[in-house]
Amino acid sequence: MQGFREVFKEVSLAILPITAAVIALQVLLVRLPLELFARFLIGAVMVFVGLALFLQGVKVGLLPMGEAVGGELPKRGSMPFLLFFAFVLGFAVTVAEPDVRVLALQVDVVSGGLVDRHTLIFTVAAGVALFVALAMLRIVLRVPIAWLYGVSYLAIILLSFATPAAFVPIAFDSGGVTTGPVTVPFILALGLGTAAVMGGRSSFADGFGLVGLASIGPVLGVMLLGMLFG
Amino acid sequence: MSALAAFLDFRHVGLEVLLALAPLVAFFLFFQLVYLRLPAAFVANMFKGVALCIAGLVLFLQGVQMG
Repeated sequence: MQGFREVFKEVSLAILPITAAVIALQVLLVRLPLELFARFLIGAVMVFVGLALFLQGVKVGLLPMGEAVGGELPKRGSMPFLLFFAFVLGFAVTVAEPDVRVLALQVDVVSGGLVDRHTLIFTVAAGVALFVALAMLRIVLRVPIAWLYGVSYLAIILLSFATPAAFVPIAFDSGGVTTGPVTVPFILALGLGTAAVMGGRSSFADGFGLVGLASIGPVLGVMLLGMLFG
Repeated sequence: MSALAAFLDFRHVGLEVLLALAPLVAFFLFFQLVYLRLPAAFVANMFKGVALCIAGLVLFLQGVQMG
């Protein structure tokens, strides 16, 4: 359990300010019913312990797992193989991402069940999967990354006018939450591994950019979902 | 009291977390068995990490939903 102290410190820094703010509000201003306040405190303790355990688990378990799979995938020959498993990996990591779940839960509750959380998680995961595969294709075919970003963001801007207004903010939030503690190590390792294995590409110039591209997919996906619902 | 009892009902969140991590673990196991063949001790250590992740996620999501 080495490094646990570090994780503990990190989590304290993340959670104590908001907890202190709520306690200050409770004492000075709002005075929530005691039961509600107790719920908040117990919830905060659970989030604290949970996050610390989770981050330690990511360090010990998911990080080496991501490196192993991400480094191995590109060594195994053919393009269809690489693209297919990049897609599957993108999907699997997003489904496991806690940030995505928190957002989906909030959207489910706020929209009164109109946007079911499983639908949202599925859409976001499909978006990430597609764009991780596209990003791999880019590395292999050496498409300039600016070109891919340009086209994708143009699509986002155009779609944001066509999508029901209520879905546009959710779409952008979806793009943000995908790049959390589970997704990032896997996708980074995949990009760096691919660039390292393919001849004539530098890991530095070609290996990065996947995380940024991966967060475009969910934005487009959720906008399309919005058009479907609207 | 019932509100506090709801805190300790981890069944729903537990199931959700297991379902969430299952595809990733299955994906890794497939790779491990077919291609990677990492040493068993290394994999065992990895799965300790995964177990921590599961426990942590259950607590975290339960805390978020309840508090």
